[in-house]
Amino acid sequence: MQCILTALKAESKPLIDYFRLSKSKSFDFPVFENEALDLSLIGLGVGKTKIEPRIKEFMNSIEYSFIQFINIGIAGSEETYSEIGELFLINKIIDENSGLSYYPDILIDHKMVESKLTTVEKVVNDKDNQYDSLVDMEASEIFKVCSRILPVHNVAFIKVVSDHMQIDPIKLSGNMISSLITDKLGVIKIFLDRFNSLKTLDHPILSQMDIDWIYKNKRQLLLTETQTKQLTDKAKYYRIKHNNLPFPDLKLGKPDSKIERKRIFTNICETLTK
Amino acid sequence: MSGKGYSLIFVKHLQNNFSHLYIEKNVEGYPLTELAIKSFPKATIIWIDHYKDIFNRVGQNFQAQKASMKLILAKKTLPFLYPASDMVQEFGTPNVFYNTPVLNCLYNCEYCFLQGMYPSGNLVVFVNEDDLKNAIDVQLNGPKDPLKPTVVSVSYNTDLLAMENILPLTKSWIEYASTKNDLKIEIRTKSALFSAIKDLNVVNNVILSWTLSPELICESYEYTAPPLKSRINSVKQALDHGWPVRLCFDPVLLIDNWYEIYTQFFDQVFSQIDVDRLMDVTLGVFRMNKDYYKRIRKRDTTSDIYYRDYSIEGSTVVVNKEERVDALDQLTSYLNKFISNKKILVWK
Repeated sequence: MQCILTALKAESKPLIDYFRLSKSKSFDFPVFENEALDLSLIGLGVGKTKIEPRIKEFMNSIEYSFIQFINIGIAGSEETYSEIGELFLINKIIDENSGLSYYPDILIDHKMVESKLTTVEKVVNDKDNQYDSLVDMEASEIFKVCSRILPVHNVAFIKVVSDHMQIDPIKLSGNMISSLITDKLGVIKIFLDRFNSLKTLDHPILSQMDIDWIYKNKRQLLLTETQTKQLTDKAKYYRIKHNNLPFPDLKLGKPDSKIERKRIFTNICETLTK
Repeated sequence: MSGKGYSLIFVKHLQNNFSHLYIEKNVEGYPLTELAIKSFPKATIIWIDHYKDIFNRVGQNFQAQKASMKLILAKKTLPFLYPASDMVQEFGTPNVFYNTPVLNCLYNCEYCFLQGMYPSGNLVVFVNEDDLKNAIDVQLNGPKDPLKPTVVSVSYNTDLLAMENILPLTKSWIEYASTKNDLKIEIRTKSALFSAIKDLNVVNNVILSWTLSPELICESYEYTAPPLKSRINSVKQALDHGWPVRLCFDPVLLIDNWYEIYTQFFDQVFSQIDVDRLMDVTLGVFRMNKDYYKRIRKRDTTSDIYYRDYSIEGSTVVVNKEERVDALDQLTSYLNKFISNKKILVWK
């Protein structure tokens, strides 16, 4: 599944409308979902504080072997670096507070301009031109939290320039922000579709049906943990060799003794590795 | 045959290899840095503080990154030279070393230890070649056994020749070796790029070593490397030019019908290659450092190689001794049809 992460309600709204996401009642913070699209959105609030608890609570509530997080939101920009409304895919995130840099893997071909970005702690009014590219308040923390949970190639950051860090933030209305995101929904949709294709790289060898077959045999034969591990290895070998074939249909009774169990177990392993 | 069906899962819209160059700020201006930037004019350049900030990140997926490799340019720090692993054949001298001008390989052979050694599938090129060469100079001044030559493998953790059209590293090492009489360097490869160095003068203390495998193994486990035919062509050209050439039948994979597969393969190879012009051949079965093997397994590798039964001998995962000695004896005996025992280096 894919999960969009936003900071502001005004960033979320156009995405919720476009992807027809419905509010989930399972959380006491904003989570929206569209099961048919296998897409969710979490509202994280502004700044770093709520990012980790909300993402963790969301992860604890779902059962997915494949998940991608995409942070979509606005960013400030140095005046000469970009125009208001320009869209960027982020390839380097500098956490201003710690000085650490983070690098999302960019494996998918996309049609966006790439940029680095600095994550700051407080709203910036950059009269001194301290920043030479983009600035936001969440990306470094999102990367830090998500990269502990999933492979770094499954985290992406898309930013739309909303201001040049020289304006009164109050003047940046919700409608203006929503409008900036709305203008880029087509490009965002294309990226999400392409990004989603990476799931084939994370395809596990054994399907749930295969795992059920292993555990059925474990119960039936009273296999030890070591034998179960060995059987899993042989099952993986079989699955790699025979991509589409079902596992052998074994009609097994409960073994009468350890010797009998070992004999049956050895036979199964040999069958799988023939 | 293998996990090829799994490993080569097709992903649409992947970036080309080296779509991104991650460059340490302190290597700006090095000739190899400039050359890499020129070689990939469309690449996005991302300046970094240290190559480990990207190469050693947590949460990387080696195989996913192999689908769209990035190039990292960095400055190597000490050590510049390492003693050779006990998993390489004995070359008749204790002065055996390897260095790492490049970390990782353009290819992605299923049995390769690099996927267990490194957290990243991306390539690192160390652009401060002179530091690596100076370290060899120091070693040459005080070898363990002064009566024997010093051997340095410069493509132990990579395939240097495979990169020659991108960065002329092989050429640079050959030119360096040509000035050192008491040094032998080995350049091990699966590439078909002899053409990239064909204009160089032959240097007798440079061994060009080609790893050759039966076509079935190439197709099943080495499918990102050139096919056998292309490698043999490169070997023939190198021999025709007069280079010292070693053939590496290593690792021998003991798959079903291995004896027929490997003996037919030897027939095929030696029907095309003049054995008298070969320096030697090496022979060894699949083996790997235990930690690397475990790490590959933990990543749920899709190669069947890692779900077979092996023995653990010390810190090495290896085909059990009885089976491997028997196999290597049989294959050595067959190789004796073509080449004398003293020219066969076996890892048993």
